[in-house]
Amino acid sequence: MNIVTSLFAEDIHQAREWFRTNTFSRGAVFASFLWLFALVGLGGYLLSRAFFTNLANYSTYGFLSAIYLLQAAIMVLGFLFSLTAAMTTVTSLLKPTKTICYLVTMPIHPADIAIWLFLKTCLINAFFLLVVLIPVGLAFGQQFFGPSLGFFLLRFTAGALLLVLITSAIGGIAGYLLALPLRRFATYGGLIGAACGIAVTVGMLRLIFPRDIVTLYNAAPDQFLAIYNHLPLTNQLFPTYWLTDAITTAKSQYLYPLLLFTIGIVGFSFLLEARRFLPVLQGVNGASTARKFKPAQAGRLTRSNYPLLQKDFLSLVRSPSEVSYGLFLLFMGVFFFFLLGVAQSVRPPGSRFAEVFVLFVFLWLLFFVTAYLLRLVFPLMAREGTGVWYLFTLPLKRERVLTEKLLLGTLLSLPYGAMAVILWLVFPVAGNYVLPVICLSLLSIVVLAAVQAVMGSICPNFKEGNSPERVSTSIMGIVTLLVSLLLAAIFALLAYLLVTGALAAPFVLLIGLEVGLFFVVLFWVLARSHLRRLAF
Amino acid sequence: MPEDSAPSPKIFISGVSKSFGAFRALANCSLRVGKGEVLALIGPNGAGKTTLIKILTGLLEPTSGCAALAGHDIQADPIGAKRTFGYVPDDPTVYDYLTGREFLALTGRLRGLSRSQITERTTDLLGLFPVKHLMDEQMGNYSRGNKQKVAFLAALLPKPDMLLIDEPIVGLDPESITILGKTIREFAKNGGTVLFTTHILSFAKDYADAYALMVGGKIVRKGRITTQTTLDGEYKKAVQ
Ligand SMILES: Nc1ncnc2c1ncn2[C@@H]1O[C@H](COP(=O)(O)OP(=O)(O)OP(=O)(O)O)[C@@H](O)[C@H]1O
Ligand SMILES: [Mg+2]
Repeated sequence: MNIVTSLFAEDIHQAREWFRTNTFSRGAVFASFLWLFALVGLGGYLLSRAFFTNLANYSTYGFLSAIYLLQAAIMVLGFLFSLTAAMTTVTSLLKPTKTICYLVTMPIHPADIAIWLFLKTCLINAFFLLVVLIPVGLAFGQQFFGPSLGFFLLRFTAGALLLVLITSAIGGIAGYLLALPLRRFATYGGLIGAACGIAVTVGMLRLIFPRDIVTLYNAAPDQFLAIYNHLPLTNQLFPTYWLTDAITTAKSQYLYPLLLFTIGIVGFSFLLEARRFLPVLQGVNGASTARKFKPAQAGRLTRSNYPLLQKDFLSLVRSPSEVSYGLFLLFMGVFFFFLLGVAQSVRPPGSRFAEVFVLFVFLWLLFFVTAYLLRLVFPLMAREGTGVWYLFTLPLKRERVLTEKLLLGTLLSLPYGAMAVILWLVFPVAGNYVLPVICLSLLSIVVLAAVQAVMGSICPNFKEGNSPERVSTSIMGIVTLLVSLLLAAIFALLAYLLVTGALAAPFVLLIGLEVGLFFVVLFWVLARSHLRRLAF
Repeated sequence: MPEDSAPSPKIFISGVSKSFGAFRALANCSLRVGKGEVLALIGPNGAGKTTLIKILTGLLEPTSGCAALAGHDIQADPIGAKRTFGYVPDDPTVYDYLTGREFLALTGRLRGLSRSQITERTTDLLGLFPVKHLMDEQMGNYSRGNKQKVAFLAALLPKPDMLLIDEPIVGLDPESITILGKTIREFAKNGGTVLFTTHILSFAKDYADAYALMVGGKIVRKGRITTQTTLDGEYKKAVQ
């Protein structure tokens, strides 16, 4: 335990050091991050407040519906957070940081390192889960637990923390079990993982939204309870049911089973991680990484017109972690829109609803695109890493390097372009707007990709080149995130103006094109002058 | 103009200084290396050898002074200057995910060689070191010495006028050291110019024509290497 404490003390020390240098800019970035979270929280609160108020008036069974939705939310969030915890665990096992490698050589019990990593996953999960859940809980409590709001919030927060523990534990277990097979079947591992993820998602959605659920809307009050109690999610064997019950009733009979379940799963996860940390790490590093490739690829490089683009493309597709991150982020997008599709099909859309819905979908689409690009396109230049001397001692114009990064970035955004086209064909958009909305989405996706590729070349963090996740969370990464969100907001507004008929389609596209060009050219010029002055 | 009457230096460094913030890493360094000459840059750790090579290759901008390769100023005409040399840094890590063959192909393509030239040169160069069996494997799996050999081959691939090599023999096995030394001599015999840094004075003595000794950012001694030269003695005198 002593060791764990000192490892955390070291983390805190490093965070302090991080703030001590460049205090001002880092403080500003930190503050803007807090603002972002506050905004997300506020948005979540306002939305759920309106939703629950509406639900309470809807029918006598509004409360039950709200509880049902709460449980569904817990299940979906639980799934997503388990998934991210598993990803974090797998990453730290497959690509151990220098600190971890160093710690392993020290006379420290591996269990201490494993516990330290587990607690860190918990902390990160706790932060995000609280930002997402607490506002919803507040709105829920205000509507249904007015008089005993304080007590309800206490239970709600405690419940959320239990969820953090459970999801981190499940993610940890999954990560430890998956790390070795993933390393062994590197190329197909990502694909198999994605397939499993999709299967679980579809199963879960069927569980939450079984076919009967539509009958609830038209059910007479006396039938409501009968149908409700037969929904799969109201099965009392689900831990999510226990958790929901413990949150919503003062003296829940499920409290003890829930606590026992939590202790059991966390304990099991702890034991597994403490025991398996070293064997898994050794197994992962001991697995053969030797991969041979046919000379034909080299032949292709000798006649390529875009050899730099091609080598960067190879660097992505030959790196299982990049492929699986890309697939994961794509999968999250598909998952979200699938969920949205199911949710909106229950409610017959009016025209006003359709317009707001377009705005909503557009914003979320660009948000997913931004997350995807930030991880895969933004670090393209920084990925040159410690080998960057090679590129910059060749007789090449630095603009050429920039151009090929930009082209690749645009190519990499194509999957999302395809997704956008499908979305607008499936979702309800008034017929005459389908084509303009598709064009606008494609334009905004390409602009975002170009902006991220170019911004990634402004202050490339070559030192962290082989851990793109750190590149995308560096200061420049956060600035890029903010710029991308700004652009996303502008494009979403344009889409809204388009479908409300406030602006004609050619105008909207022209404005979009100009805004996009402006940003791309601006950052291009900045990046070029930066690359000229680059020193190593 | 006949070269003998007015030998214009291939590598020309004049009054180069470099400061990192308040720290002065190089102070007024001047150096010339002629065609067909091999120069060894020696000196203790932190003397500024790597910094000087990085200025020559355009990776660093000098605070003052200028450096030119085959008459092309590296700051004013970087592309022209970079066409003339092949460079191997002290850490020869490049692209872990490419195979050695792909790396050579990429280098050839980026340096404007034709397909047939690339194939021909690659075949030639692979005769140098025993690395043929590794060429279709990803470079990330190479041992340090093998990475260095492939980086050296890539530097030779476009038949440059000059080679700039930072610590060429660190991590190489004895046989490879001999091969590398002989390759450098052969390269110089065919009119090439070489500048390398090293801590192994015997290697410098065996394969270089001249030396320059750096201490604390200054070039304190230059001279030709003959059978009489005792680099050890020169080194000890200069460092004390
Ligand atoms: N980016 C930098 N910022 C600050 N100081 C630097 C930087 N790069 C090099 N130095 C300093 O410049 C001095 C010269 O370093 P250099 O790497 O050129 O030495 P060297 O002669 O190559 O040493 P070695 O034999 O160990 O390779 C060192 O004191 C080093 O700390
Ligand atoms: Mg050095």
